[in-house]
Amino acid sequence: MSKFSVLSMEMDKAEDYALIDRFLSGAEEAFDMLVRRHQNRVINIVYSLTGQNPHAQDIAQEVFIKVYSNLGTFEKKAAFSTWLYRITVNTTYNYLKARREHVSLDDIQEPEDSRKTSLAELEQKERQGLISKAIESLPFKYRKILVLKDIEGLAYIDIAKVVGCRIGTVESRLFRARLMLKKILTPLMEESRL
Amino acid sequence: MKLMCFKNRRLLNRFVDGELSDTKISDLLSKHIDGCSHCRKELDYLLACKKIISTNKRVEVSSDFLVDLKEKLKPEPQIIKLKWVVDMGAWSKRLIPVPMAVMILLSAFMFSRRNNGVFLRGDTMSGLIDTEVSLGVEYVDSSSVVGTMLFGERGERK
Repeated sequence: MSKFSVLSMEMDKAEDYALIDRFLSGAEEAFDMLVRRHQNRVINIVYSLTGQNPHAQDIAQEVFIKVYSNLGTFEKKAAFSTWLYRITVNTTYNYLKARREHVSLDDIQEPEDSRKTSLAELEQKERQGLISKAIESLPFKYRKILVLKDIEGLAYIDIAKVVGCRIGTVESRLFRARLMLKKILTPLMEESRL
Repeated sequence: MKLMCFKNRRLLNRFVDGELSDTKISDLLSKHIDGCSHCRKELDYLLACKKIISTNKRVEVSSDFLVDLKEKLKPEPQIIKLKWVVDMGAWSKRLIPVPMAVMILLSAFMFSRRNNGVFLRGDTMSGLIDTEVSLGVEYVDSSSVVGTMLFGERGERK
């Protein structure tokens, strides 16, 4: 990691802390700023973990509601983002667990009208669907690490903090996740070579 | 130090993720990959896998996201409930028999007053009344009997 990125991360951390302090002293707009800073990442983590679920925004809102009500308990031992991603991963896991028990009709996506989309778009959609299905096929404990590393680009040490395990566990789960994906992704890889 | 292929698999993962901070191992790995087709293939797979996963579709944040969130965070208007109203609600089920009993007693009292203290009257009782009259028993108002017992015939308290 370069000195510049370390410095930038430290600055982000300090900015988050300052916003939290302002919010806790009664400035509501500080919370809005915190949301704006992190909403994109939170939604995309949820989106990837749930297999591109249309309810990703709702789940992300649930995450921020939890943050809003528990921000007073946040101890500044780790970065705010680490705490936030942990809540995100746990909330998504709870959502998926509840969905497994109770499948809502809203969760079943209607097939899109193929006449409106071109062949290239269809191919792209099919490819995206395959990647998403491949990620979704992984057990959650592997999936969350793969998403945090390969989609969100977090470092091993940060993933370990988010998930609450050792760096060695992150490494081995990532290794196993990629092994599991090999079978599903091989046709896609061959396609990209062509 | 010579690197073994089976050990390399994990190192390759770290290498691809940019987590191999030890430059010595990194150099050794690079040299090994150059001469080992198996590890080369593994590295190619990992790079391709990482690339494919990272191209996973990202979602754009809706412009209403924060507005909707603020709406959800608004405190719900609290309905002011007086304590005694709440207590009434809890106690109402238990208190239902009380007005019912009062109603029954009241109607019984009214009925007895209307019928001059005699609860049983009518054709079905006429035989019984006749028998008791013949035996010298008189039907009297129950309240007057109580009054006689308490105050005597002239109204003096006993």
